[in-house]
Amino acid sequence: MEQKKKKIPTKIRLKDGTVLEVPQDIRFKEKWISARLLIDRVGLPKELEDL
Amino acid sequence: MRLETYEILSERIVVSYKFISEGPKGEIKKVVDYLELGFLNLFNLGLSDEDESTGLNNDKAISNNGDTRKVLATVAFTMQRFIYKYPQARILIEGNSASRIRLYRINISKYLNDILRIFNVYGLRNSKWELFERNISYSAFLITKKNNFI
Repeated sequence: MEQKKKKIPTKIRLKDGTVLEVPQDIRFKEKWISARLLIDRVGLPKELEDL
Repeated sequence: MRLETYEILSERIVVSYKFISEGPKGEIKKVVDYLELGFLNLFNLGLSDEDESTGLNNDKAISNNGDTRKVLATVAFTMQRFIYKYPQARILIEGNSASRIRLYRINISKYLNDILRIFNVYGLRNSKWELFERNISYSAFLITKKNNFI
């Protein structure tokens, strides 16, 4: 049976309300979304924030 | 004076390193991708199998080709090459499953002394980054080049 293709969002919303377009490179969309949202949620280590 | 500007966009960089895993299941093409996220010098590291028939990479593949240690050592080698090319890069490793994250953690722990000669390693725990320590579970890793390493 053919599997349904998972829909990948074309935009994401950050904590501050900013809406970002998801890059259209099909190989990496999900990774980009996941990493972008993770860093939006947790930020960077303190030592790296000031650099 | 602060002038109003338009938002600017830059092309993303994807740096790929390819190698062939050899083992009981034959030859399996592996790809290590560093995807520029477009902010804070962050790059996402992904390890996947290359599927020649579709042209797509499968990062969920579990190849079980009996060479995990060599594969991960090769990934670490790509990291050295990559950081030499992009010394300001911050490499984010999320892993796509708990088992893969665990595998990364075990191997980082095993070679931590060597890794720390070149890199700073952070682990994500309870939504906070902390310096990597052995025997602690993390949900993601962040790796940067040490300032004194040329």
